[in-house]
Amino acid sequence: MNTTKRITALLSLVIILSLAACASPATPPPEAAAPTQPETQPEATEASAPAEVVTISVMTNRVGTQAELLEQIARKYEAENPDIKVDFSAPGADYEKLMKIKMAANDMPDVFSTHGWAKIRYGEFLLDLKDQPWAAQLDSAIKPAVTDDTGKVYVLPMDQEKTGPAFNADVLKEYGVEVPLTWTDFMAGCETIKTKSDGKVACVHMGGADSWPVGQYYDFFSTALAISPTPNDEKALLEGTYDWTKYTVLSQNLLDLKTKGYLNADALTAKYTDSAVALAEGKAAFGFYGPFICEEALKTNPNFNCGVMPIPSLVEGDKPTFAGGELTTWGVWKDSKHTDAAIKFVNYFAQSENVKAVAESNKVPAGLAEIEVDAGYLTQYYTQYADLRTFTYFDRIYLPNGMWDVLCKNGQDVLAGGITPEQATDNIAKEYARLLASQ
Amino acid sequence: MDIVQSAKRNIDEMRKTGGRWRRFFDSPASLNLMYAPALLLFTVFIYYPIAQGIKISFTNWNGYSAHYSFVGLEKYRYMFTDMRTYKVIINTLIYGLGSTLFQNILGLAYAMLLNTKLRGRGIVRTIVYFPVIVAPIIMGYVWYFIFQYDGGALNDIMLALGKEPIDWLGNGPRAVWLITLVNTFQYMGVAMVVYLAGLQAIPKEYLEAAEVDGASGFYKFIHITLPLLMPAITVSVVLNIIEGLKLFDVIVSMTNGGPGYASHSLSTMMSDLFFAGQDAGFAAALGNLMFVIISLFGISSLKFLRRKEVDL
Repeated sequence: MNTTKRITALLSLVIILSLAACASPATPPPEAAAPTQPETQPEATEASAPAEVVTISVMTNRVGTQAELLEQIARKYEAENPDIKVDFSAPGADYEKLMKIKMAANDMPDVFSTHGWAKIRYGEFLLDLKDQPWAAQLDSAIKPAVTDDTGKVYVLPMDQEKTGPAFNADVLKEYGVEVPLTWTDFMAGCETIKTKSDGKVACVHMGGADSWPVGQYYDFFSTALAISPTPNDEKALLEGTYDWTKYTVLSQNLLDLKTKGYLNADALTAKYTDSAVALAEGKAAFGFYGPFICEEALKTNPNFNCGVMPIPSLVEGDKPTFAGGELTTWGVWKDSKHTDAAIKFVNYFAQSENVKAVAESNKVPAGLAEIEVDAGYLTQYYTQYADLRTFTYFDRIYLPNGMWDVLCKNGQDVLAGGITPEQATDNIAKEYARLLASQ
Repeated sequence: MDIVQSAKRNIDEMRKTGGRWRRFFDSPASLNLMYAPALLLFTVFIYYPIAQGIKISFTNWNGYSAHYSFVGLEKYRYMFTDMRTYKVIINTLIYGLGSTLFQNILGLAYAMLLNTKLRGRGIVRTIVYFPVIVAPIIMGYVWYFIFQYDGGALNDIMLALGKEPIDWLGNGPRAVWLITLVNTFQYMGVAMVVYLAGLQAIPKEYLEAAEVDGASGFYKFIHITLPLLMPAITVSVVLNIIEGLKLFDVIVSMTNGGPGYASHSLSTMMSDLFFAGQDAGFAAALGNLMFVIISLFGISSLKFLRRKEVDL
């Protein structure tokens, strides 16, 4: 009996301690999270003392050759600054999850990339870089994505996206299809490819098993549906009063692609890498991705003739557009212990030759003005469509956090026949209202 | 004799001078101290996360921000009105109960086969048990490449037979059952080992006596083998139910819960809501529901099967 009592008492103590631990927030309260003054570095104040070597942690979401280039530049910076060491890492696919965990623990890298979410997601963790020499040089197209109304500059954008569907130029030429600039022309082109290839070439290849390619479709065409036409629904979307029944057309168009046989038969179970292979091997004509898939496809077929087109317009009288936004960025953690070294690191990357090298590795325009970039085989398309407008990715401005996954999953469900386009709209509208209210 | 008396005197002296600590370590109560390290680990890795999970389920935390508010029971209210929850519960039960059923039937069948004087039974036992040592995520990818539409092994066979290829994992309900079968394939070896141990513990005299009385093979199985195997059945079934209801890796590697939400289990949905949906509150509420469901099924099956053991 006594032993039982003792065990019960011990367990109670443990549970009380656990609950007491829960009473304190896992993350610092807002006051604690408020921006703090950066600590003054010894090397900045004590010129006579021997320089102390500091190590800054740097993390990027970029992978492959792009990550290698960033690391090369980082090593050059390190060589030129013997008192600073750079702990560089590119964790790849796990970057986003890793950063969410780091944000929850308020333990961020000194310098990190923001992959399209400089303001909405990472904003409260970033130092204002408005006083840096390159801040006045931000390109007008990317400026709204990395600054706010107060003038805060969240990150250094070394380049910027200029994205639309990618295509196999040889396939289009073989079947006599012009690059379609409207949805009607797009569907007509698909019919031609399907008929002339006897169904052997998929008009659109979608790696739906990864789910994000489905979201990419919605993101592209949401702008064409609600933002680029005149009049448009931008105000309603910003105010949260958008009539979501209008959105059904996107799910219906997606379903039409499937029912008319224009999508690859395994659109729900193929992966992004399968799309790259299909495009490279001429088994598909279009992919709702962006220039980045060209590089992936070239690994399979070095002779792949990749093209990038604007997003076809959906509304009569409207013009096609490109999607844009951040691509390769560096931001500085506001609570970094080595703010000076971190800012110096970012400023080093802002040098024109480094910006040019980074932008050219991605074959996209630079993030800073007056830096000419050779986009290689894509230059012809950027030149051809130079007059078309570029809009920031739809979800980054008009949708609350968490909606991307809702679009991906409902699109998949529509393709699987699990729900109708109308039901998808109901789900999307419901989740939009809920997520907006909880922000 | 002098030496013995001297030793006794020394011990008595030590007891007198050793003080409270020595008396404490000499007493059975000191054994309670041995729980402390385990209890500390449980506190840090089990109780604290559980308490945090309960707390987060009452907030609108997005999973990373420093800012969040308490929203009471809102996440639970939403969870029970969201149709996805019911779909995911049904899938979880199929994974848990379906896998348990198949694993135990097949595991028992293999155990009975290997309990005979079969030639090469060591090889059979190794082959059946081998998938258990493969990481579930790898097992999922292996089967993904078998079921893959374009270039998948199964569709290559279909094409060789002149049939049209099938997008095996592109249909939600079918994907759920295929995942269940893959999980069964991976873990039936565990059930086999448990049953084999149980079968080998059954005294041969019982079966021989029944044989003398003219009992058929089926009769012996139902009335002798099965009742005496109840302790092994309890262990195997309860373990399989708990593991099946927690299924995660195989789903992620085969379908990632898709198409849409069609093959999500409670655990994959919880992960999806936390990381992709950025709704830690909802994810935590779902996690707590999962805890309740697993506890209910685990405890009730344990009680039910234990009662059968008592009935013997």
